[in-house]
Amino acid sequence: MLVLLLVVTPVIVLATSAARTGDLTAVWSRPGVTDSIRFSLLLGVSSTLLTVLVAALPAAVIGRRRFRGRSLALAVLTAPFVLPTVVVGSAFLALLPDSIDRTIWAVLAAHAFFNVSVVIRQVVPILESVDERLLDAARTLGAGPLRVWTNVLLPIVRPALASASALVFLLSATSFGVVRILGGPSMATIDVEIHRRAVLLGDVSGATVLAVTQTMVVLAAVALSARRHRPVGGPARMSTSADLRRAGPRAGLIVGVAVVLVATPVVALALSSLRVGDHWSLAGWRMLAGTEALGGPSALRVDLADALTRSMTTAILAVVIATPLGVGAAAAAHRDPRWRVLFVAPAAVSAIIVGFGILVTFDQGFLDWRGSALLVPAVHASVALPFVVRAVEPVLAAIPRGLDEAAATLGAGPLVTWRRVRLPLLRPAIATAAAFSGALSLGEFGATAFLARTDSRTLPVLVDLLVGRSGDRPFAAAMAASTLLFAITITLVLVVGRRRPA
Amino acid sequence: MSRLVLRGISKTFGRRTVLDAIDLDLADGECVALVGPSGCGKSTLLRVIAGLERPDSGSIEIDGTDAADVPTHRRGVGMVFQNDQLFPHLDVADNVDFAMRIRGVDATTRARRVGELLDLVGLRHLSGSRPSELSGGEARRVSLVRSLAVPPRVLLLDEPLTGLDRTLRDGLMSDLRTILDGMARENGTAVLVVTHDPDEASFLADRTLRLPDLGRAES
Repeated sequence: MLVLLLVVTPVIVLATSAARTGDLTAVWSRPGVTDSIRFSLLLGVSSTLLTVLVAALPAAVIGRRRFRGRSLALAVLTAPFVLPTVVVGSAFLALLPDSIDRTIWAVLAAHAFFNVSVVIRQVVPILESVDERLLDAARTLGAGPLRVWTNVLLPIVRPALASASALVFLLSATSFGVVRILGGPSMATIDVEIHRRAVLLGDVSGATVLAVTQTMVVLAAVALSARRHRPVGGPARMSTSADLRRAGPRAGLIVGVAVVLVATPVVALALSSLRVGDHWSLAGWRMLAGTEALGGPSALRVDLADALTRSMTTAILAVVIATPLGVGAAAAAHRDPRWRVLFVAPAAVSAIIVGFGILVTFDQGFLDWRGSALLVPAVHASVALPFVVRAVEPVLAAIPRGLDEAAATLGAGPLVTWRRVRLPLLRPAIATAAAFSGALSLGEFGATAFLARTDSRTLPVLVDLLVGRSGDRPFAAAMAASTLLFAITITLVLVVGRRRPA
Repeated sequence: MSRLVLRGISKTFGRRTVLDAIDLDLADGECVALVGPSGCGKSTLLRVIAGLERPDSGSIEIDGTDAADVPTHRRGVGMVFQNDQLFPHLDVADNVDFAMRIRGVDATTRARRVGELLDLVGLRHLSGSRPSELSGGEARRVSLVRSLAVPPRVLLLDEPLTGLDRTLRDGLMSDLRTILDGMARENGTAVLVVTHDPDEASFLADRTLRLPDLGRAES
C-alpha cells in the first residue's frame, strides 16, 4: 500500500497532469529540455563503456583466482555501490584538481568509481561458480588462455554482464547527486533538468513532461529486459575459493591497483575534511558537531548538527517502516509471484521523479502531507522497499517446504511456524536488508532534495548546498559531513549487513 | 478401539491416480508396516493422514472423530520425514524441544524430557550440536525422538531406515523396535511405517500390509 501511495500515485498524477499540459511542442522547444535528454544519453553510454573497461580486469582476476585478502579486496571493490551519491561527488571534488572539477571527466570518473562495484557484484559470483574442471576440459580440447576466456567464460558471464551494463546505463543516465556536485553549471541530465525546472524556474509543466517521458522509457526498458531475462537452471554452485587457481604476481598487481584506486578518493575526502583552505583544522568537524557556527550572512545559516540528528532519525524510521513491510511483501510475492512486479518495479522509477511526483500530488487539501515529519522517512522506506524484497524473497524461497511440514506435524500453526522457523532462518537476510535500507536512507538525495524544507534538511541536502557555496569553511563542513556519512554507511553495510548466521 | 480409520481415500495428481479408494484401520498401540513398490503412493498416503495433502475423496477418523478438516498442527499426528527435516537454526536439544516449547510446557519438565529422549537414542552428548554436524544415522535418531517429545496419537514413519549404511541400520532397527513398543505401551500410539523392505517390515511391525491390496481391485 505504501509503495502504491508514495510511488505509483505520484507517477499517475504526473502522467495525467502531463496530458493536461496540452501544448507539448511548446515544452520541447524550451531551452535545455532536449539538451538534457541528449546529455543523459551521452553520459549513460560513456559511463557504461568506461565502467566496463575499468571493471573487466579486476573482475576477471577476483572471479577466477584465489589469493590472500581476496574477500577483503572483494569487499572494498563492491563497497562504493552503497555509498551516498553526494559522498562520491564530494570525494572526487576533494581528489581532483580544480581544473578537472566541474567537467564531464570528473563526472565520468565518479560514475566509474561508483559503478565498477555494480559490475563486480554481478559478474564475480557467476565467474567463480564456473567449475575449474570445465576449463580444464576446454584446455584439453586445445583452448589457450585467451580462448578459454573468449569461448567459455565470456559466454557464461554475458547475461550478467549485460544486465550489469543496463543497470549502469540506467544509473548514469539518471544521475543526479554526482552531476549536481561535480558537473558544471551547463551540465544537466534529465533528472537535474527536472529539478532545475521544478524548483528553480517554477516550470512545473516542463518538469512534468520530462519526468513522464523518462519514467515511460525506463519502465519500458525494464519490462523488456524482464521479459528477455531467462533464469539459467538452478542456483549456481557456490564454489569455495579453494577450487580456483592461485593468482600470479600480475593478477595481484591488477587487484592492488584497483583497490588503491577505490581507496584514494575516500582518503582524499577524509583528508580534506581536516583542512580549511591551506591549513589543517578541525573546524569542519566542529561545525558538524554543533560546537562552532558556520558563519556567513544570517540568511544562509545552516545547522549541520541538527541535520545530522535528522538524518539519523530519518534513517532509523525508514528502516523500521521498510523492514517489516518488505518482509511482508516478500511473503506475499513468495505466495503469488504476480505481486513481485508490483513490489520490485518501483525500484526503476528514479528517486527524483518520486520526489517531484509527491511534491505535485500532495500539495493541496486533505492530501497536504508535505509538512508531515513522517513524509521523508516514508519516502525513503518506499525507495528501500524493493531492495528489502529482493534480499528476503530468494532466502524465503530457499527454505525447504519440508521444514514447514515438519513444524506442522510437531504442532506449529502458521503463525508459530513464522516465528520459530521462518523468521530465524531469514534473520541474516533481514539484517542485511535493514542495514542496506539504513544506508539508502542516509544517502538518499534525489527525492529528499524536493521534499526537505528549509527547516527539515538532511545531511546530503546540506552537503549539496554547502559545496555550491564559495569559501573554505562551507567546503570543510561539507567534506566533514560527507566523511561522516561515508563512515556510517560503510559500517552499517559491512558490519551489520555482513554478519553471518551463528 | 480404532485409533485411525481411513475409508475410500483417493488422490489424483493430474491424470495419475495415486491412491484409489484406500481403506485402512489401525488399533490403539498397533504397529503396521505398509509395503509396496516405489511410486505406489505410500508417502502420499502418509501425507494425507498427516493433513499435508488433501484427499480428493474419502474420510479420515482419528479416535472416532472426523479429522478431514483439522489442520496438520492440531491433528496429533507425528511424522518422521525421509530426509529428517531438522531445523538448521536450532541445535539438537532445541529441535527435540520444539513441540513442547510451542505448547508452553514449563522449562524444567522440558529439559528433563529432552534429556530422557536423547538418552533413549544415546545422543545426549550431542545436545549442543547443529544438525549440519550430525551423521545420517544421528540425524535420523534426532528426527525420531523429536516426533515423540509430545506423544502423538498416530506416528508416521516414512522409510525410517533408508539411506543409512548396513551396520547403522541394524543398530537403529532394534532401537526403533524398543522405542515403538514403549510408545504403544505408555500412550497407545498407533504407528504406520512405510518401507520397501519386507525384512524391515516384519521386524518392526505387528502386521504388514501391501498398499495395492488396500485399494480398489482393478488398480
